[in-house]
Amino acid sequence: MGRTSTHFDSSWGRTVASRSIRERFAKARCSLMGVAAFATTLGCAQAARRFPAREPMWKDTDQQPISVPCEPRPTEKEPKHVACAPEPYVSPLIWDGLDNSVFRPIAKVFAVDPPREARNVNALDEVPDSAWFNNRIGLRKPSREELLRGACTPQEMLDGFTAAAGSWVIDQGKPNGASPGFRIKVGGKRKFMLKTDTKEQPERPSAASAIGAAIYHAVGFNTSCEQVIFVDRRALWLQPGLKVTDNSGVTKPFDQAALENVLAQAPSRDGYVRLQASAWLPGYLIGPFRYEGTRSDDSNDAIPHEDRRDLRGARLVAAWINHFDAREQNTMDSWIASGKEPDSSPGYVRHYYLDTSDSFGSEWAWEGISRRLGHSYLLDWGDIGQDLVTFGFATRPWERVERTPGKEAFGYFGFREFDPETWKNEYPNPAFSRATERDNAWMARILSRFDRDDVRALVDLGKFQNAEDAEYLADVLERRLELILARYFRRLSPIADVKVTPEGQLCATDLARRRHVWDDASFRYSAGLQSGSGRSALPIEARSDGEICLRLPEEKKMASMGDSYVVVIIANGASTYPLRVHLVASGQEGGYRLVGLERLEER
Amino acid sequence: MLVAAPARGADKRPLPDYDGRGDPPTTVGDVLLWVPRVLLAPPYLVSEYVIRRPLGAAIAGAERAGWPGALYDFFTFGPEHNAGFAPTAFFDFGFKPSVGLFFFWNDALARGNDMRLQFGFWGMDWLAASFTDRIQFSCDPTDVITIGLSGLRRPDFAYYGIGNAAGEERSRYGSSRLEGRFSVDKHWWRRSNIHAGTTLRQVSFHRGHFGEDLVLDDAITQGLPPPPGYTEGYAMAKGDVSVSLDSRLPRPESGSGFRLEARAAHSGDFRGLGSWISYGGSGGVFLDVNGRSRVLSLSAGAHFVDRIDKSVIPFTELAVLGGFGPMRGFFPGRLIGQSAFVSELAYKWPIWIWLDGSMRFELGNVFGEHLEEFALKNMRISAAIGVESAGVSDNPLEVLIGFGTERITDGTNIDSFRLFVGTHRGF
Repeated sequence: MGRTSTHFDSSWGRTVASRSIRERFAKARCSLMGVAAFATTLGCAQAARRFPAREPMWKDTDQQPISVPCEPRPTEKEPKHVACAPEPYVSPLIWDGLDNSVFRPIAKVFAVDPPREARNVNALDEVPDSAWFNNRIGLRKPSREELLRGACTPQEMLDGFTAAAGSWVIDQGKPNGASPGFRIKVGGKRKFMLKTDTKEQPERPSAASAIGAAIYHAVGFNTSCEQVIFVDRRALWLQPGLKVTDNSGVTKPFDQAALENVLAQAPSRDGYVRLQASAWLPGYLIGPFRYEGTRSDDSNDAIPHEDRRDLRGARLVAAWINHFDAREQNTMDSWIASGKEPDSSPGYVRHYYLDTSDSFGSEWAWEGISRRLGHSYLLDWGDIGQDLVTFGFATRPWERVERTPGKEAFGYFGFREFDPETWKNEYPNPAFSRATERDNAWMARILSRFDRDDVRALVDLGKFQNAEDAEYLADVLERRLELILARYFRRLSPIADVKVTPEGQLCATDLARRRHVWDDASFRYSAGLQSGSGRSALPIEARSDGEICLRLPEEKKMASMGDSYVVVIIANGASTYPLRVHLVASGQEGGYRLVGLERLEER
Repeated sequence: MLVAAPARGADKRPLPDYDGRGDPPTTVGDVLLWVPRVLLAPPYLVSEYVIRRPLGAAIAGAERAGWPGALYDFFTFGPEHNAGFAPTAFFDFGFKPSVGLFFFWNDALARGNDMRLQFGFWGMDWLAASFTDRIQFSCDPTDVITIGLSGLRRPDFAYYGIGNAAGEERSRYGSSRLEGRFSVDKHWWRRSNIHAGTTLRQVSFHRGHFGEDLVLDDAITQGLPPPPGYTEGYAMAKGDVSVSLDSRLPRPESGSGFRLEARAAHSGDFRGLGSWISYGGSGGVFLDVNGRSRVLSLSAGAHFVDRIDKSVIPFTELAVLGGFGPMRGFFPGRLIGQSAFVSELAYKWPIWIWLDGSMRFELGNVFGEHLEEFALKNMRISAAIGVESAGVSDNPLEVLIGFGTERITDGTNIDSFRLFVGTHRGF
């Protein structure tokens, strides 16, 4: 597999479409229409711009406390309650699907608004920490314990095996949603929602919640604390007089019979019932965030969500685990007040990802839909139109997917028909639709930090009864990750972790080589220095574990020549485009200073 | 933009210069983008501010008010929502459209007993009603006993004449039909089926109308021979049987296979027109091109109606092509004769979960007794392309565009255009 190879034969015998064809049409993909394509093509090729000599921005300013005007917000317990927090947003489920499937795409075509590069990108082509995203595995390898704990604090870890009888108090039935459950309060800890799996796919939903949440958290998103637990029924104590309203609006008592009905659907092991535990989020919950626009009552929310790199990049995480249900209803905003009262001002809004229980192969009642999940929108005008005018000439990936014998619990979750570039969720997501090559490459760099051992350990969070199920899931996840990395390390440079050593070397990590995306022979490094004096080659050394280093010219010499700003261009021979490292030579003891990184689609 | 709370005039925080380089410079491409933006500004404004935002506010508001649940409860009944109703509509170019209501009640009196009630309407002279009770008598859902009652009165039926040379001049007539039927369908192998049934039918004719078309009554007054059975109407009983041998498996299995079908019926009129028999058969081969429901088929069939002694066969009981049967590029009732032959080359392919695309190319026509004047030169061509529901038996959605031609010997010019869209068949 050389740098310019056009076909990629994977170890499992599938041939990936020619990269050169995609490269040839790469610029055309920048636009929506013919004129816009030409216009945007011109705009895609950016001239090199200098970075200022300052520390890269690693902390955004959107967690500054803000105040919200107070208003009456009566509750059942406090009819005269006044809240000084944003008003909760109730997401319109039907309109969200209808709008994103029909009306928004039509309006956007007429708006001629092709995707631009994301707004919140720092000088190192990374995303600063914010109320949306905090760099974790992408910057620093977490300990195994941190990785597996996910968003759970040590105090939130539940142990149903040792729970005393009656110590888990059920104080609410689960009001709506697909899976039955109830809320508990555990003395000294927060509230948890406990849910059961489905009979059709036991273990998968709860495992997907726990594993998915841990993955999203490790990547950097805010998530809820999700765990798979086993509990003795005797630990549960039902408060009398509870009622619950189901999806159709009917209110029924949540009594012992209702509880038994819920528990009857849960798998059990050695007398312990398997449940999924979701910890209540901190703060005052104000409803989900939208993937488009901003929240008008949050002055910190200044970047249209569809232009945030973190939300755009989340597409690849969703693709990896096939979280097709990545829509606004599976997110949550929480008002984090500075004071004691959760709905008091000042405070700020923190944004969470929720509910990945659809991942790893959830199925709908209709097989035709289940097959399409991840490959086509529920109502995909493009696919329908293409199939209509081509008379069904092409066989579609959803027609080729098969369940794995013995692994029916994972539905159609596999890797053979997985294409990270064309992966789709249920219906168009405004942020996902605007993800650029750089956004996807950014997330690919983060995902590459998950080693195979990490993936295997994360899968164990699912507590599968059958070890083969865990092995299967880990294998599929690893193969899907390999496909993601093979695609998104192919064009833009996967070189990261750039630093200037005290010895005057410029070192970095080629994440593609570290992760063995291609054979070592595919990597042929070259580097050049670009300054006011011209260009010169730099010898570069490839070391173990993906590390590369090159010696920079003496910075005093460069500074004395007036070349205090230099750009080092590093190519790895496997990816199409190089990395541009922007350095400032101070001419003092400080040496070179890294001021910027660019991954442009130009050589 | 839809938000939870009204805008509080909160000024947004100033955005930091994330990479320190300020906004990227304006490129030629950025400037050129304004050309299509300006050109498309009107449709953008309409789509965004006239349609999307008001509709979004309305639907979102309705959702928050609980209307979807209320609508679901309004349109469906019962604790398991196994009964309900839905509006229907049908448009068939060249005929009056119709709107209606479709009622369903699954597992009505027992599990496997499904009832359907359907009404159609377009003015007081266009009324239709149909009641069907299907009783599943085995574990196989296609093994059903069906009891049905239906009534139809409409003024826009089309008559072109009888025989393979019937021209394109049409006249309109009205008809009132009352029908009761009882049938048994038994599935026996793959898609093979045995059907037996009996029907009581009363039909009368009256003056019709549609647009500027000639009225049949006026044409008769001007010398056109009245179609057989037109002036007196008829009331008949019919017993019919059919057997099909179909090797195809149901989806998602491969659609390759063959189908042979034979059918026969005996009908008698209570009012003295006499009695007649109808019989016919068809055969076809189906090739699922890639094993994924792209099915190419070639089939042929013939249908005969023979009088017994000197009976008069009402024209509406003759072999009829066009409409929703063979030769779909032709109007319903376009081709009437004592026998018919049709060959068809068709292709069907999936375009969505519940939608198939279909194309048909047919060669056939009606003829005299026992295919009298049967010849290639007397054939007509019908072609149609459309989209239809896949796997839906009650009120399938169908959109079809098609055309039909003169006989080959007359030049094969297009003399029929067909367009219909709808969720019921318009009776």
